[in-house]
Amino acid sequence: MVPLKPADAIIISLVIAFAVVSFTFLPKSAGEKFVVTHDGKIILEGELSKDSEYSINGSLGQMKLLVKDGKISVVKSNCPRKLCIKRGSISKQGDSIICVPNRVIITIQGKGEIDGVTG
Amino acid sequence: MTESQDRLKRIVLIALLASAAGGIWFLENLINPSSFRIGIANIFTLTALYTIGGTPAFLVSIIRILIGSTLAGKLFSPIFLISFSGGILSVLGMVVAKKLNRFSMLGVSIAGAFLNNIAQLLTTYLLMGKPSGMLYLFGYLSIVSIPAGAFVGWVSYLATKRVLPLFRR
Repeated sequence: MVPLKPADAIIISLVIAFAVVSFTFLPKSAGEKFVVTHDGKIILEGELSKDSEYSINGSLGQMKLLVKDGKISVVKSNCPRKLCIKRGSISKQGDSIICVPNRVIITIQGKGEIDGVTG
Repeated sequence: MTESQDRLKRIVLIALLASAAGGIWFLENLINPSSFRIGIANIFTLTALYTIGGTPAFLVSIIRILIGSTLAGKLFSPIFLISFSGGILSVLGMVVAKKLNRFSMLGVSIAGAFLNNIAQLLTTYLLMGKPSGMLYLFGYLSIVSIPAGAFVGWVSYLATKRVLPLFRR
């Protein structure tokens, strides 16, 4: 009933090959730096390669961030449900930890080189 | 059937398919505003391609985007440009794939869905200047374009079987 032809396999495998290639090369490469915003304003930027502890001020008071082994996590926060702490540590490009009560967003970014392409 | 009757039928079919596609595209956008859409509107483009040819398919696609983005209030906005690039590249690809005469409608449809994603992602990427965070979608969208394209191709196949007899003399 379904009118497939043998050559369709070529198209399907091309698409799958493309997906595999983009999974391997494009995405989820380890991030280089992290950016922390509070109320949409950048309050802290740093390298993931340097192990360190940071204190920042969210809407509910002080939060502590820990950078270790190329990953960043929230270790202390005054927010009621502590979801930002339970989120654990993040390290991949595009990942983020969002603490809504504190209005704080931590995002991982890659190298700046891709920016250059778009100008 | 005379030639002018045939011509009239084509024009009516293009108008019908394009307006239905515009409405459906708008509805699908409302129901599912994410990047992962089935692309139901492509059924109409594909049906046009297999019943009355490549140029009508282009027309259906372009008119659909004009109607759809007007309904959404997004005419000539970035979203319009993104849809437009996707529409053009996918129809181009589908016309070529059909000309090769080796693929079924499902294959042609999957190629169209895939090219649509490529064009839309690249246009979004260029327009938004948003790098890393977005490109990881490439792989996921490609995988999704296989079942989505196959579904669209299959429905178009059923539609084409019913529309084609209108054009046989």
